[in-house]
Amino acid sequence: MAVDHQQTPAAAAAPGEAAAGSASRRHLRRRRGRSGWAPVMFLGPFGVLFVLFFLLPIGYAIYESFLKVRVSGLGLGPNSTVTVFAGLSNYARVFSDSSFLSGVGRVLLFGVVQIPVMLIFAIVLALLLDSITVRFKRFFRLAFFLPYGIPGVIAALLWSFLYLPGLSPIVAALHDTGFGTVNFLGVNSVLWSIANIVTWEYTGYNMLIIYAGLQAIPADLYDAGRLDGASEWKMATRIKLPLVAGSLVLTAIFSIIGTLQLFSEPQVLREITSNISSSYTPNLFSYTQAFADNNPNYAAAIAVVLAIGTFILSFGFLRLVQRRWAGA
Amino acid sequence: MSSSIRSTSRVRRRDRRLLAIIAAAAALALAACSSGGSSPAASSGKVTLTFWSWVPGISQSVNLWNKSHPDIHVNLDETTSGVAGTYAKMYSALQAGNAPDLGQIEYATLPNFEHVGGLVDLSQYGADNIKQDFVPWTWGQVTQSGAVYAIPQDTGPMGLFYRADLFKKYGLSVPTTWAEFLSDAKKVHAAHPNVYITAFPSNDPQWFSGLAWQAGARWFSTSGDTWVTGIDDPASQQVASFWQQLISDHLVKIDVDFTAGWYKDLSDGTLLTWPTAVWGENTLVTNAASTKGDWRVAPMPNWGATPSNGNWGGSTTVVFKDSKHPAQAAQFAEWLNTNQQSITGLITQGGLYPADLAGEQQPAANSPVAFYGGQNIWQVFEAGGKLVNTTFQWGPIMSTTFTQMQDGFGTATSGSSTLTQVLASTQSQTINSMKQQGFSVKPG
Repeated sequence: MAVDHQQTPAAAAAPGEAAAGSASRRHLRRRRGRSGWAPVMFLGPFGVLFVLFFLLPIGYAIYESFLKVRVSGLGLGPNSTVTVFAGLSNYARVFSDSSFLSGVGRVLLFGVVQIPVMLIFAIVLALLLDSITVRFKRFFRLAFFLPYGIPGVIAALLWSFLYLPGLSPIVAALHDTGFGTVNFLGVNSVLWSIANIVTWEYTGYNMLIIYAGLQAIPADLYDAGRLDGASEWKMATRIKLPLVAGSLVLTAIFSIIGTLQLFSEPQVLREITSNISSSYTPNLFSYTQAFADNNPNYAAAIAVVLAIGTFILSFGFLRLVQRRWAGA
Repeated sequence: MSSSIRSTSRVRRRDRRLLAIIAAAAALALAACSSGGSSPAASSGKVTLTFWSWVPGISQSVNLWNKSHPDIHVNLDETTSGVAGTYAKMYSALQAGNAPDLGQIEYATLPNFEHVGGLVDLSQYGADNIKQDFVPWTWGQVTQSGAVYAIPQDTGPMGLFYRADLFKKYGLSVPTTWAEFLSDAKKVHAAHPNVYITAFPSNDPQWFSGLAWQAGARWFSTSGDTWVTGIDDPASQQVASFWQQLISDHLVKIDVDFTAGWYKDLSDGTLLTWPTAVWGENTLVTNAASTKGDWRVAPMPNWGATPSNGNWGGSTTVVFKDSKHPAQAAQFAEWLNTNQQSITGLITQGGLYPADLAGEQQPAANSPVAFYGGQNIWQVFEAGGKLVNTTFQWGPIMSTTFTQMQDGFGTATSGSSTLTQVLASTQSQTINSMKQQGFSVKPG
């Protein structure tokens, strides 16, 4: 309250003071405001947070990645463990570490299968929603999008109960209908069980991006199509899909990046199956190094390599899209 | 219109990905600079200590101390369990030089903290004088080349929990040797294909290490200035090939322990036994409540004529190097684990089985338990605790070793390797990891 009282007169005085100023002074203020303070005011909050929570942590991670712990003898007692400059040796280790490489291979395989499946689902759902014959459009739009609103960890927990033999109604139902005992958590099946969770979570989100693209197509194109006697199928394949191609490339490339960073689903399912190793995905590997093996330096190197890989993909995508738009 | 929607969604989507990267980077950075720290002495000469622990209800013992020791105040910081993040936080705090005065650390993790130079040698504060208060094997765990790095708090001597009702129903006798355990396994599974003698926890190297410990394994020892690593020594190989046979012949169920599915198997009679530590008592009471009165506890089956035992779990109280009042902190650590009133609190509130010999005689840890049909199960564990091999030692990078073994168990239970191969690979991986960090190490 006391603070309020002090501030009120000052706040009230400000407009009055501005009104009393001469025209030239006002002009000056506006000019100074435009060139000096306004950008700072607008960018300030972003800039501070950007530095604090983006540049600093990344800088620190890069710094840590060039260090390593050097032990001598038994490693017991004072001075037997020192942190030394490691040069690029952590990075050399990342690229020759079979755990890391097999994790990368696994997520790439995952992406090659899961992303097309998810995007085809997303396209079909978006086209269905966009076609005029569908009723309860708003309901379905929300229903398809809903899984995305559930945090990834919660979704993985929910699905883990649907996968766990002895508890899962799905496993029980498959067994009762003569499919035998299906193991969703087996050494070969668990990757696709994770893919199922990811698809369930993100199909609606990707659908919404594509749907937004479809909504933005001018109606006269459809009128022209109808006048030419195009069927709904032809309209979808000849008008709609080409015009949302940009959205499709977008959803695809970001799905690839998301796949590279796969973490929470395998981490949660790891609690109920031993077929997900501690280095199952690159992110999980980094996490294990940092928080189980107390090796933050190596974990930082893994994280930096992953980040660089992600940036290369992002900028590669940007160039690809820009070329497309420039060509169009 | 269309392109503006595209670019907005691009930015939003991109931000989300960036946020994920930021969060990961921030997590790494924050972990490295998390706060803690010991408080400086108050002006009156009163000393304040900080204590990180995750034992439920340990505040009762801390309050008791604060009432009886007005000059040394202990601030309890209740944390999550060590593996759930507190160890990572402790390592970071030690690196940053602001670790608390006192902390909770499990036996297996002690050498790891000794190795990062984080612990105060308590022998200079009279810790050696209370050696005879504790179960013998625990003292071997907290000492290293003459230094005492921790005060034992609780232990996990092992025993065989078994379904007395089902043993009777299936006409089985309680196994006293592992050979009898195997014949029981064959007998019951042949007659009842959906019933197993027990489950092999495919995710749990710590359980396995308790069994190897019983068989006389020596995973780590020191010879002069060199670690001797013997994860695939003959005793461990014996245990591994025994369980591999049970797995290959489908005589045990492959489960992930402490999960809903495993609790169900323990409740519905799928599993007849659980070889585990004393604290498993509470696991069954809580998660297999419907089996009240059906379970009993027998001593662990043995490998030969000489009975021996292993230990699974248990922890200690340590003083961190950053403490400004190590003498007072040591005094508290000793009191916490030897004062009988304090121990009563640890038993009744925390569900701990004390490492203190007098504590084991307290009624709370030495009375019949209704859930176990009125059996005084504690006597089995008291006797079992005295049989625990005193030479077993943990290594300096145990969390890495456990991770490597756990990854290996996954391949063994899915059929692409065997438990004996897993021991060999864990042995070589652990030695590699140690060499990479500069340890002097050789296979033993």
